[in-house]
Amino acid sequence: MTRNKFEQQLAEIKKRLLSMGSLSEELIGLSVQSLKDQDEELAKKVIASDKQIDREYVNIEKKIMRTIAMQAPVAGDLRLLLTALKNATDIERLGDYAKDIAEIALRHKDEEYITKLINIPRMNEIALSMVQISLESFETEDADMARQVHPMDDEVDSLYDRTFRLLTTYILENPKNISQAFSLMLVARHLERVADHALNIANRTIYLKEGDIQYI
Amino acid sequence: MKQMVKMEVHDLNLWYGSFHALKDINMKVYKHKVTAFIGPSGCGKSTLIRCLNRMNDLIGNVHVEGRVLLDDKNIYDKDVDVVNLRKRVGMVFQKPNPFPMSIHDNITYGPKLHGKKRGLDELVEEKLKDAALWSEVKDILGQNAMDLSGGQQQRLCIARCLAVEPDVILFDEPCSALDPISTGKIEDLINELKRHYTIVIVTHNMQQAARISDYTGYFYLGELKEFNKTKKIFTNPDNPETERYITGKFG
Repeated sequence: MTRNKFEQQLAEIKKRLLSMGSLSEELIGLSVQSLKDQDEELAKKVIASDKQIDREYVNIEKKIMRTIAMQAPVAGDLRLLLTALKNATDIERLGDYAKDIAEIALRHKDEEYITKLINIPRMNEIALSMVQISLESFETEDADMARQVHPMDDEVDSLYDRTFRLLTTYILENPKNISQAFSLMLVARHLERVADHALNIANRTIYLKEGDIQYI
Repeated sequence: MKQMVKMEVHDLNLWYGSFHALKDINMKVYKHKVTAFIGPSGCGKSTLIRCLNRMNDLIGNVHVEGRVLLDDKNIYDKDVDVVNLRKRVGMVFQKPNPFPMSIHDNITYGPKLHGKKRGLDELVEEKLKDAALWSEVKDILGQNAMDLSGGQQQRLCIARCLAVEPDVILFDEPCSALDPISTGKIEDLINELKRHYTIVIVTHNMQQAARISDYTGYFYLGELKEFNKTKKIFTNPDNPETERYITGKFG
């Protein structure tokens, strides 16, 4: 085995990216919980923690750039670094969605909800397992595992459509519901996007392993 | 688009005495393309490139089996004139080796040997221009070629090779004795030359193979492990052994 330093750099990038991924995943879970429980303190904690993800994103991007410039990687190593660079962007977005959801939670913390939150926690649950599976597939470079994410995305999409329709009826019933219904629609939309980012990460694992770029 | 084949290697085996240096090599060299051979030292890449114009004939104790076709004609057939073959398949070596004579005479030496008497000055200008050296030497054509810098000497050797109007040019590590700027010039030149010539290059510099070649062959222990388009080799090679070599995990 040669190029030990390079191997170490690749392993470190992967490790830091995965811990950034776990943190984003956790923050999304907490943001939805803060919304559900109308927990002001928790929402504020999520908002503050997003900054940590933004900082780490910049650091990881710099590290990847330096490694590409100095090690001139090719083939599998190059695919790993490009995958890591693009995954970093997806993971950073996850942090932003968590922050947005927490801000929505703060906005409505003292109101009674117009409906019991059922679809949103369900979407959250599926989207988060998508994130978890996609990150794990990246860690273990397991393309078959990555493919498990595909049908889950359809489930999230269909829950999103249902949530959207339901909230529209609340708006039609009473204009006073508009503000909260829009907020909840936005939360649902964010979770639908979380699932899309997880799908991106999963598809990149397939690319990393098989070398073929496919977007499904 | 179907590529035109310029040279074709069929079941080629080569022994240095009892050492089996090339094992069942099969590959094609495409016309007006750059084909690079890569692999660790002693893998057979230089041996193979020397088979393409029978340079190995000059080494004693070499035994070759198999066929190497140039425009469908086996260059190992008994009726092949080796001098004429080497005119059609020229070679540029690792270390620049100009003749100890003037720049002008270096270019005209080959054509004169092949009987050319007229238009020699025009030929010198044309070939030096083709080798991207003209502007640097046009006022000193009478000077000894040994006084040029290493990079200039190598371009002179390329111009000398072009002067006999070959079809194929073989480069055996042409930049390993040159600095990065001279290397860049030779690489640009190879890119220009492929419009009119077919090029085969042996290189130890993998990034160079990636930069300038269209096809790459990876050799190990006398075997051609993978032959593929360069962009495929450097993004997603078919053979895991190729991957381990080009990513520097072994070799």
